[in-house]
Amino acid sequence: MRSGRRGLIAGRVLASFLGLAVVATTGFVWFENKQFTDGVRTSDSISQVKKGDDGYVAPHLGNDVNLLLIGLDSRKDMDGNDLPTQFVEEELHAGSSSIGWYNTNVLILLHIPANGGRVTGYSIPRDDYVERPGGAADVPGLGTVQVPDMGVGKIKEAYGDAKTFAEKKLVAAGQKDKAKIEAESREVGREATLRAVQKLTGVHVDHLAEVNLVGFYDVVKAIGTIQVCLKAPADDPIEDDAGTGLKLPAGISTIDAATALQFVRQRFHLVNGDLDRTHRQQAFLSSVTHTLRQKGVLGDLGAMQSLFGVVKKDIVIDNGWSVLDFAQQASNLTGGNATFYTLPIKGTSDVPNGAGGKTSVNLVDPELIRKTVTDAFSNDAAVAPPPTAASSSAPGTPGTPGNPSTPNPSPSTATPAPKATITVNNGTKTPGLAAKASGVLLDDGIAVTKTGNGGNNVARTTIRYGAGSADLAKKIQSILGTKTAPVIDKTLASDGIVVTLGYDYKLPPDKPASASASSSASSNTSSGSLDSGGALDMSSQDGIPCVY
Amino acid sequence: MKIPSMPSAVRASQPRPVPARPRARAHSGPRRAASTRAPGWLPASVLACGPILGAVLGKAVGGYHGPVFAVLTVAAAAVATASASKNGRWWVIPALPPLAWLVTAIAELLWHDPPYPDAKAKAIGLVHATTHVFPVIIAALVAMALVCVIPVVAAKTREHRGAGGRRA
Repeated sequence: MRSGRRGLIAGRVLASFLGLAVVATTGFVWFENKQFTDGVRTSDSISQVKKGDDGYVAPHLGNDVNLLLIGLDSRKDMDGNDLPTQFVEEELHAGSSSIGWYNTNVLILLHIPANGGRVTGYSIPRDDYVERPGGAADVPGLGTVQVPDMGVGKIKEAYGDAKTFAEKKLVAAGQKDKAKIEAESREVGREATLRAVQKLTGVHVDHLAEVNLVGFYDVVKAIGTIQVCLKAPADDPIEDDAGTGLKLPAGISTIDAATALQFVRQRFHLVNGDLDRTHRQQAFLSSVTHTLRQKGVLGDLGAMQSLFGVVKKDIVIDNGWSVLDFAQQASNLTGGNATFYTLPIKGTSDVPNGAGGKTSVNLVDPELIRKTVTDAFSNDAAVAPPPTAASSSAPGTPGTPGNPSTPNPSPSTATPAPKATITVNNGTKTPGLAAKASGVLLDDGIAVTKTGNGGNNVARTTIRYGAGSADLAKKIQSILGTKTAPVIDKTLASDGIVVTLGYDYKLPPDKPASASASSSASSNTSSGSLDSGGALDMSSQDGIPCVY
Repeated sequence: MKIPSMPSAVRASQPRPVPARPRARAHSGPRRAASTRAPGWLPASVLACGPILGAVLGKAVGGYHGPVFAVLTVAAAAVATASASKNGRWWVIPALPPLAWLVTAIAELLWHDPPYPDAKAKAIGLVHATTHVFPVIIAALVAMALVCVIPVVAAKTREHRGAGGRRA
């Protein structure tokens, strides 16, 4: 009898313990999950772009996710206050707090297939000259406001123009709370960006994530350093409040947060101008993901939470976003199974900037873009194999999914070249030839130290080398395929090599120097779309793709 | 023999002879009249059916761990507690959290669309399910606690009022 009672008590204790354990565990998981999203600013802008609005695209069926990443070039915090000048100038290297406005300098539309296939991302060049439709906006305190159609303009300015409109309305209505004005007017800016992107691409945006300059900085600061790979040395001095001050050699560099921001923001002294900037942004995403994966952050909920805790003050996500869902859906993205493309442009043109001057824009073919993006986003049938460290594929038409043309021999897997100080000078009038040749050499594991100009009319490529670099000089000649034999130059240091490219040098077929926006800057429209650069495969080059 | 009468004030202060109260009767199953108490299997069945039905119906209307699941789980928890004996409550109440979690976890792994492709994705799915079920568990436990406490408080209140009324 007594033992039966003991058994009953023991059973009750056991049951209670089990119940309490489940409550405690579920409570812990719930709390930790809440921590992910608590404090994150959310946006209702996706549901605010309503049926009937120009730029509205009906949500697609299925569980694929289209995610728009918005990088805002604003030097203001979320409440509209200027970031500290010293921080902006000395840490961010982003000029004064007064510039940048609310340009969406990064617009990347990601498609995450439900079937676990390869993630496809399209960078939308910020200067694309597109329609920027207006639409109804529900603004607290104002009710429904009709944001006017902003006509054709740079896609990066849709956000700022709509924000300014809403801000004026809010101020006129007597709203005095600066933070509220900022939050509400930014929301209208996001809606304008969504309408413009959906109108241009023809696909529905399911989720958005907006990050500002500090966000980029904080991400890298939180993870320490990242590795990036340049095909050609970067030298972007700050002149007249423009430029980033970036100075990096070709090859892989380990960079800190401030340098990472310079890396993604550089737009001068690039072979392909702004289009190279989009490739830098794609490479940045790839490098950050690679580092997070390498450090085990992506597989560690606690570490992810810590990272998110640092950056959540800098980001805005849509209110339908679940970090858990995203973690599950984007496993291919975080695993490196993703390819980035840049939307093609037709050419460039100078158009009035509204202030009496002119501004250069990218001319686009909206029909072609819609077809390209909708085709790519609805073609998830084939599930890509898991990424490999050195994936390769046949060269394809740039900007066409399925034929990534970027994968090159990984610099880290190529036979390491002996240490040398290599200078490549362009002795021709072909823009960007030295940088392109630098890229060719990097594909064979030879990192160029410096590029420059070496005259305009050099007929034959010359290679001069210091006493200790004869073998490397011969290798360079072999890679470049030039005829003139390298010659020793006793004025050079022992490890010095100077290559001066002449008109006899021909770039390999898949690297034409003319296939760039910058090289056609003076020309206007052309019948076909220009190459906007090759695809960038996140799994290529061990997750650190090399870009110009 | 005549019993000497007590002064009325003294009579009032004397405890009334209270008949032996069948304390455990209301919830002590075996001693409870067969016509008024629920059969022993009912609380367990109700407790199990609530979350399961909630998940199935919830799936039909759009979300297997949505409001339908929550309402049916909480309601079932309350009914199961009310119909259980005192001893049964020692089992019904602790059983609710693991049961609700188990139903949610199974539903998540079975019905998530698209299906989770690998173990890691399934683990994230379980985290997802756990996050959804915790508030429901808490709400159900609160409902169970109320079912246990309200009759006691009500009886105490009645008793207190009764005593107060006599004093008046």
